[in-house]
Amino acid sequence: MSKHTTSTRKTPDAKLAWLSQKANFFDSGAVVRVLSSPNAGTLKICQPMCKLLISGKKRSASRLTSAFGFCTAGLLSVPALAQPQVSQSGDASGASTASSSTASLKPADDDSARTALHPGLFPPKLLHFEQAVYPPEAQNLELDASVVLQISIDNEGKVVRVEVRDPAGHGFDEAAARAAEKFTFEPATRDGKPVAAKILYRYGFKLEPKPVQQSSSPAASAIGQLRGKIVAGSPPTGLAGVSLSLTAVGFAPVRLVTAADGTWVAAPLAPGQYNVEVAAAGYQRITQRERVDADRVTAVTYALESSEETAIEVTVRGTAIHREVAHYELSRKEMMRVPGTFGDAIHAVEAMPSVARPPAFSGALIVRGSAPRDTQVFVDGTLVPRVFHYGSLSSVVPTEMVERLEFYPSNFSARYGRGMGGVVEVGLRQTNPDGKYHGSVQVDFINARANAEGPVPGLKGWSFMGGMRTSYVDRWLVPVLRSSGSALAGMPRYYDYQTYLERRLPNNGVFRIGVFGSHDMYVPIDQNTTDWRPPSDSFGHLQSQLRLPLSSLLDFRASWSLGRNQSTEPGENDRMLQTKFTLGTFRSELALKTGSVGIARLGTDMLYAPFTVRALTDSSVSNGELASTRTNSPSLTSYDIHGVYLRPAVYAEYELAPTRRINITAGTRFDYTKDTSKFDVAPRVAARYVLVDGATSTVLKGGFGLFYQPPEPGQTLPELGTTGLKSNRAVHSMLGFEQSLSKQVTLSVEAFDKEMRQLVVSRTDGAGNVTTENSGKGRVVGTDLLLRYRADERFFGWIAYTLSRSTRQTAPDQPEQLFIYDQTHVLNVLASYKLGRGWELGGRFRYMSGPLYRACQGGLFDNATGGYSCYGSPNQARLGPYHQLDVRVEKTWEFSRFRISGYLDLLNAYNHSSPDFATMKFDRSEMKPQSLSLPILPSFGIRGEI
Amino acid sequence: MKAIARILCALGVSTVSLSLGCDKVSWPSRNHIASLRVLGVRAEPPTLAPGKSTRLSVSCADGIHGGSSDPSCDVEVAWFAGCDNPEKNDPKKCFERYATLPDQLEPVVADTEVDRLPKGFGFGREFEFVAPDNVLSNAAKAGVNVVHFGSSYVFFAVCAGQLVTLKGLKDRLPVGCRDRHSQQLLDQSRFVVGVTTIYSYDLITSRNPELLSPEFDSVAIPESCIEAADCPANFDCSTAGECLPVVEVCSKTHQRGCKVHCLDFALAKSSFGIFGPDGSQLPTPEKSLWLDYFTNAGGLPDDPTFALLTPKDATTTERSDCIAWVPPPEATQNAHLWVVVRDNRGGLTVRDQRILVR
Repeated sequence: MSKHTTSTRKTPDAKLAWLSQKANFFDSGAVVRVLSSPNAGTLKICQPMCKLLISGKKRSASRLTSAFGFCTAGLLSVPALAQPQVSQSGDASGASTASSSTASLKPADDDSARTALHPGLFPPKLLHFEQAVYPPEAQNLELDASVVLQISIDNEGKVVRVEVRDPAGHGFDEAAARAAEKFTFEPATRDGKPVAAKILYRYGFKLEPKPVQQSSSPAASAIGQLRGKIVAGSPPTGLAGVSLSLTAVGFAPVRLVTAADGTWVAAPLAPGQYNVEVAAAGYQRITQRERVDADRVTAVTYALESSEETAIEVTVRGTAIHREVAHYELSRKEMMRVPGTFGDAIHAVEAMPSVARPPAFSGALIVRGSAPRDTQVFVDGTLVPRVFHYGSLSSVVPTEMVERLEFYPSNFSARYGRGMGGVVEVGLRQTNPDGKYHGSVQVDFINARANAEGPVPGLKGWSFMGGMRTSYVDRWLVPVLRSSGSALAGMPRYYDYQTYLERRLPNNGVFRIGVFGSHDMYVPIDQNTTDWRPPSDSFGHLQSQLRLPLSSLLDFRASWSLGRNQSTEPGENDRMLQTKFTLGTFRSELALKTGSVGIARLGTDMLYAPFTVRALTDSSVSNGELASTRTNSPSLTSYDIHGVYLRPAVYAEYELAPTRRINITAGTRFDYTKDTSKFDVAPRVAARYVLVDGATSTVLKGGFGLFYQPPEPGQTLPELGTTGLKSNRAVHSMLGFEQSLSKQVTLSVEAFDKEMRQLVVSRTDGAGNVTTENSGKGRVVGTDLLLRYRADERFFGWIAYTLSRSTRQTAPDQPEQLFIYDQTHVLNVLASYKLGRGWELGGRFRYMSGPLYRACQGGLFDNATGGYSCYGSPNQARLGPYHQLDVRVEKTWEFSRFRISGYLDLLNAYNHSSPDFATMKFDRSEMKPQSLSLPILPSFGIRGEI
Repeated sequence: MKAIARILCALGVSTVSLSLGCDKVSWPSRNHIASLRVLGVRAEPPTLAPGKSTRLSVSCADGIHGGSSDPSCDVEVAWFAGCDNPEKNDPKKCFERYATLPDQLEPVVADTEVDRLPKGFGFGREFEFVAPDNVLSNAAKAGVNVVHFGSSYVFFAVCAGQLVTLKGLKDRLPVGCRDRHSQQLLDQSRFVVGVTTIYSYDLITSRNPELLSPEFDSVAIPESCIEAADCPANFDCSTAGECLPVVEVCSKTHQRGCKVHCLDFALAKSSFGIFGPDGSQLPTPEKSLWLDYFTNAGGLPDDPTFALLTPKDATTTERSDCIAWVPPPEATQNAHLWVVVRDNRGGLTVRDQRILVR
């Protein structure tokens, strides 16, 4: 953000805002107007003998009213004291009133100044008037009022009791009563003798503008002016409709909105220090401190920067509603601060509804009862071949580069296909447009990462963003494990890298090109082992993205990538499986606004992947031979398979919003799978209806559609699989609502149903023959609940709960069983709060149903192999539930040009061990649960950024 | 140290490494005989033509009383045949057909008169199985270039007590095993249920592996003896006329530093071959053989399962690798090392080597 002060000058006709308070004095019926200074720390009612404060100067008491119940007026640069105004008033106590056109300014020194209520009976006379403090609440609300008090006075003139007879609320009553308790009176007299008395007293509070003063004295025009302009973008252009708030101690906030050219004026303002807050959607909020001098104009210009924390819901050209109805999103602020995730964006998705807990360290996303392979992760439209590094310690996507994360657990639009589960779309952010270099470095005990961005030297208009991460936990832990004789086989070692060049195009367009990749391997603990050969996995992609608004009606975007992927999985002895493939993808979408009610989209989604599979594995069974699964059979067969996966798709979609309340999106996707030679047509529809609009809106939503997923690559190879397979098929149904409970709090409830048919199932018969066919079916039903407090400056959090049931049936003659990844209950409760002074504290509690395992009623000895299989009807049983508390504490030190954060992520804070899988005795006669839970594990890290 | 190791272990976890260690639950080794165990069921001959018969016999060991006790098994055995070429070759689809057998047997199976035993049911350590005439014609064709075969499943129940019938079971064999004294049903440590597969072919046959020329610590073991002098050094002649190796106890912690003894065999070439109608060995296909070994006392430091290689030519045989064994810490006359050799066409041979530990 930048500002620029242009000039200051004197104002000719200064106006001074001033305030007054009015006190009605019942016994004399005098209404006195009291004026006070806005420059004072509090609003004070000037009363007899009070000292006046005028811009720090004092007025002599001689200009004040007498001490007998009258207050002076004209405090601040008002040369003439305002005359007390007398009005008639009556009250229930029967106090008589009298009128007087003027108030005496001299103290009354005899009873003749008091009006007799009755022959010989004189009321009390106020000797000391206590000024009340104007209630801040009322001041902020710009309220005035009067409070009727009943004051009991003893025969010495002291106030013994004050009761509020006519309250006004907003703090007026208390302020008046406190002041009245300090009144002192000359006591009432009866026949010359002092007596106790009760009086009704109306204590008035009034905010009034002061009349304009014509004085040429500099002190007489003690006001100033603050004006400015709000700009953004490159080149900077004025922003209309931006909200500003000017606050100063002792003053009500001044709220403004910029004009069409981004300008604004705040005048008149009393001299002093003002906090100026600027808030605009899509931009970082700024707060600046400006000084207003008397008789001067201060001009400033603020240039706003795009907000990194905006959760962008706009999809195309300002459409405010997502076309996907099943949709959750995470802002960058949230994904970096979810406790227990080490600030990893993809791990943060696991805290959302519909995401079950994966097998420990597997790095799998289990979405609404689907298998991990059914869910896809995209980075700016490019499919990521591998989401998590080995050990699932972190994902391959650096959070520093992420702007937003969209998660669609089901019913996603026709732009996505080839999957029956969910979709995670990670949107990378654009480079900082301020023309400066920025960067960050983060170090913890597992890995270190760094990223940098800025303008490209010598290439005007271009900027770069790049980063790298490398792990080193193996370098210090492996020697320790070796010396301790650990039973561990290996430790993960990995690195990933991302580099992009970017050029902004007119009308918010952008072109980006870059590379990203990852490499994973295991480092053996035992250097001499020959029993275990570590696997490895790597990929590298060239990626490009273009977003080009062609006109006000037409928008075009495209992305393509080309990459190389390789994985090697050694097995026992010489067994090995190596997979290499080149992955090429191309996506494009043309969006056309049709009038004011709709958007038509046409898109392509191509996938091209030549591959090579080399394997050395056991020979296939034949001639009555049994599969030797537990022997070191020398009968190995080598495979060297080459092929091409070609899967083109096109889609068409129309989003209709005839009114502000209704949004309907209907589309169809056409997929072709070359390896099965099959076409799949997938129509889908989704709708949202705003039932109740406003701050506490209610939105109904629903969706229905077909989703296809081609067979896994190995399943269609003639050498290893079966030809003639069809794609897996699912029907997604979803119905729900979103209720805004307040500006920050929303409640979302979704019921979902997923019917799956023609699932590709591979089965092995008793003779070891493997058959693969579309014989399976399945179903998932459930409900999501999300109660969420959206991130503000201090706090964010949510409660996410999913209740679901996922079943599969591998063949018509097989019983329906719970799916291996079924988890009935999934609960995530998390919150993060900024305590102030750079401290932040967060916690996440998770509770999930335990994993399923196959329970045997004993073992059946197989004479052919010497092993055992389950005896009797297989039962599914569930291990105990999983629950864990993670805590995160972070301290940030802000400096003028950089920031340093230190954090502690404490996993499994109460050191609970949850069962992860069941182990069976060799003869299947007993079962014991085994846990892979980490013990209480602190992870320290330091982060610096400029 | 344990807590530190656990934390370090947890820091170093990974999907692969966890399968090999790190808070791993420990189960007793499958190769250590500490209960009633079926080592194998041998069919002689191992493959049949339709209508031909084979004799099945059970080899078992009982280590329930520990390594110092005689591991011979005193058991009752029941046989259940009649399940041929089940759907998708899944033997578990056979159980339902045996559900009515309890109606034809006495509650205590041994009480059933021999001539009242149902067809396809046998009782005793041995059982004669006859392949049905239609075992090949009823079998699904495996493929154009695959030798057609039929599969017959024979179930067996081996009980270290008294076999009794159980009614109403359709997913298991309708028999249980109960203690002769307490009449309580016994668990899997005293009752083993299993299945063996008999392959039927038209034109080819197979033979059980033949173990020859055993050696203990590279010393050939004579087939028989009358007195100790007939045996090599470090051997003794048993009352049954066997030369038994004599070894020292291993009293070191975790058996580290003790001498590892080796047992190995030669395999007859016929163990690897398939034979034609005239009995001559066919050049192809060849069988895969693997060796598994067990003990009731002492330790097995190496992987107790390994493959046996195919001989390089017609004249040579192949010796197995070292079957490694470490003696127990206490002296015993009843230490055994069992070797089970299987092939992938149903062939099986069990060799029991007793060792004297002093």
